[in-house]
Amino acid sequence: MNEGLTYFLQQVINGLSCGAIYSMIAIGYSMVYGVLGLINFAHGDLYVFGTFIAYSLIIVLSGMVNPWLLAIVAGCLAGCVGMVIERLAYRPIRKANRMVPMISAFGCAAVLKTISQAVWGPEAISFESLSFLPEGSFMLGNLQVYNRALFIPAVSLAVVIIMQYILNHTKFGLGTRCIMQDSATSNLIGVPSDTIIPLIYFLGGFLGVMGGVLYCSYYGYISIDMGMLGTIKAWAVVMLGGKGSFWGAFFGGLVIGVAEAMAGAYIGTAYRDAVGYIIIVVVLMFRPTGMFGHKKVEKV
Amino acid sequence: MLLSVEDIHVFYGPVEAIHGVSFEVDEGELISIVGNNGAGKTTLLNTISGAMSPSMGDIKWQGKSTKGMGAAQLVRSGIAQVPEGRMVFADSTVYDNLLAGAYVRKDKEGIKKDINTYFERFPILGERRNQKAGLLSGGQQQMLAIARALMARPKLLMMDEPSLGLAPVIVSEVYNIIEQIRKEGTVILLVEQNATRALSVADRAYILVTGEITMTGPGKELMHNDSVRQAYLGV
Amino acid sequence: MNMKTLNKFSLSRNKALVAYLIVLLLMIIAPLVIKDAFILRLFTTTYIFSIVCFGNMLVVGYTGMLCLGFVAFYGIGSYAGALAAKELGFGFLLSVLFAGIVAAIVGFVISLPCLRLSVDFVGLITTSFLNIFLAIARNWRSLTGGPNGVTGIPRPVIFGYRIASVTSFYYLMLIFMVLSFILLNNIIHSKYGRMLQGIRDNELGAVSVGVDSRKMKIFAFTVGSLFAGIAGSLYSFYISAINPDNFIFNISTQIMQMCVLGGMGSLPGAVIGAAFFTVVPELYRSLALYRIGLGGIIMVLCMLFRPQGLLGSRAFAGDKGFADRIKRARVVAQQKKAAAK
Repeated sequence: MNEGLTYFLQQVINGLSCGAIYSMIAIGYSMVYGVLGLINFAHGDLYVFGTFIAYSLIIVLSGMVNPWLLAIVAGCLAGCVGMVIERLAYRPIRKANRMVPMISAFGCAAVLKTISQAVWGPEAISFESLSFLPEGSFMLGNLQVYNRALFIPAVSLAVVIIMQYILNHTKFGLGTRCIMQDSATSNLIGVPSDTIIPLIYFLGGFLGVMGGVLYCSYYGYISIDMGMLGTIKAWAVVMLGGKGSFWGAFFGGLVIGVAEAMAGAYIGTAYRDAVGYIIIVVVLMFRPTGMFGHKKVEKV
Repeated sequence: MLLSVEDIHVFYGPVEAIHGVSFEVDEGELISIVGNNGAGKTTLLNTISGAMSPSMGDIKWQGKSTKGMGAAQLVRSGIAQVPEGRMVFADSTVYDNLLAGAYVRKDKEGIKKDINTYFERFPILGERRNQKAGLLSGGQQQMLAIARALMARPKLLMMDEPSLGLAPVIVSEVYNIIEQIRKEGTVILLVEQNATRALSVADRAYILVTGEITMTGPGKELMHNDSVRQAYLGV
Repeated sequence: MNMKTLNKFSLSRNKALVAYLIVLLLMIIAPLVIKDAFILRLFTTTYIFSIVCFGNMLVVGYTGMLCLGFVAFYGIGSYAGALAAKELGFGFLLSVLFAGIVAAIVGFVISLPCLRLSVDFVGLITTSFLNIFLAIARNWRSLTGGPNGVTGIPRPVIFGYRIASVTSFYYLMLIFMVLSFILLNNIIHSKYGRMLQGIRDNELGAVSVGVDSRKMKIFAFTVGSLFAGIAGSLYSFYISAINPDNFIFNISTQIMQMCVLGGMGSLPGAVIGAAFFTVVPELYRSLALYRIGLGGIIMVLCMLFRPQGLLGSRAFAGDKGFADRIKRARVVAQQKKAAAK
């Protein structure tokens, strides 16, 4: 294998890891956005909050409990916070003009960020040595493949498969699909939207934290500024993949991850982020419903 | 008395849509409520179904007040609605639509049996069980919506304008189905703009005008009433 | 309309006019009364942000397009004005005009893809644009100075008069704000403004009565960006050094907060909103940490109880959660009283 090809493949692998992390965060986001059409601006700051909790739990219980277990606990906590936010800040205004719950979400994001800052400070905190990701690597010809580069996409893939199964083969999934299409009629035939919707927020928060834990482990630090940036990236990935599609979120994340890696390697790290957005805009211009989305006919 | 609506006032946003409506539905009856657009028919049905709640007055189902009961609870206790415009879940399959109708039930075997029953009864639905409901024709969607509501094994089936937007031939089919359901013992509350059909099948009927009941009587009688004929039968 | 309603109508308009004039008077004499430079500087910043909010109002409040990256046009105007003055040697007024036009052109271009696509898409496309703008600003060092930005922007000189003191800046920005207010007020009350409102509230309905919604949206976007660009260049001249961090996404959020609190669709509301979010945080410097959180809580409460903001139009609100419930309860209580008699 020549050097150029090795370098290229290295970037692809990096891109896939990073992309798979985006996928995780996006899947969490996709739950609320896909089902309720609500741009949950609080998603990022919620998962950052949850990831901070995971961090603290691990510091306190270091070594005694498997960190992933603690991450799950933190995820559940964040999920519960998500449900509370839904009940207090979104549900009362669900029927208003679209922008109203969105602005409320902005407000919640700000509150969460402030709480995080008050508890954990404004500086970035190191996430090294928290052993979420497997160590080690192996050689594939000239290519050095880190174990974590396989682990992360595998976890992401597993999550998508599980979520897709839940959506298509469980009662909860049936209810969710009905609410996604027509929440008023769903209510009428007895689908308990006031039970299902909070659960969707719970899942969104939980999956977000799982993604957040992966993200911070991969990059080695956590900071309160990640919140809104994360929300926007998740939103972008979901729009690219298609609103309401988990596979869309998965592949959308991968595409963005690889694109960013390529841009970073061949154009310059400065334009990494920008490239991702350019791709999304271009794709959406030609296919407004995203890669896997389906057209929803507007009823007049 | 199976269903007793007692002087309810219902607000739609800040506007009062129903101004003190009272009526009753008893075992074995088919009741029709006729009214024009904006009379409040859908608001009325939605209130009985629990999607909205009256600010004043009460609704009694099987003798007990429905105050505070949510839509899911009411479906479980036997009230199902076929909404205006069919409102099938267009992106879901016919099968999933029926499954959704039985959401409040927990008996998996019974649900499967019922689905097969309705596939036999409405062969077209059986043929298209795995097709997306949005691809069905208007009449087929109406059948699906009715079957979906029946999946909940309701004691009272409420239908909001079942003839809306359907060709006359299809309307006849739908009303045949309504007669059949009635014969099988389900109580039916029909709400229609299409007065001819609604009044001809009804035991008793009510006329709803801007949120108030203005007339009541046996269906056949109202059909021959002059003011009703003028306002609703285009005579 | 009988004479009574006609009189009522013109009386309320007159009342509004009088109120505006009083406030304007207060703003004019303020520097003579308030000697504290710090407070005067706060007001000056408020005036600049008011102009941005006016522009945001036009785009978001009147067309319903969720323009989340609006601060990008502000930033473009800022850079355009600064570079025009520094590199091209344009005078102050020319630089401001230039900045406005550049921002308007960019706004025009950005509005085109936004037209036939969903509201969400507009939000995403403007956010993406903001990201791209920031990336360029941070990296095209030869043009924008990179992360250090543009420094040493010359002081404005108008007809030979050099603006440098706190008071002169105060009056300069006040004049620009008032002019923008008057201009935008005329637009809103013209037939264009009504068409825009029609599009916001019911696009299909508006189109069916002959409103060219595409043209109007482009119009709103372009004019909104124009104001943002002008405000941006004013800002450049005011603080004489700008860098990319002045235009990050959080600023867009702040602008939105200002407009929301003041009320979408209300020009005086924009000024109040801008004032609130500029002045209040400074008064509570000690609570700086909690500023953002408090702002967030205010937003949530605002949405729950009064989504149309302080002075905004009710049309914006829809089913207003608690507010409607309270109203309903009042009507019901009245009826119960009447029935009991």
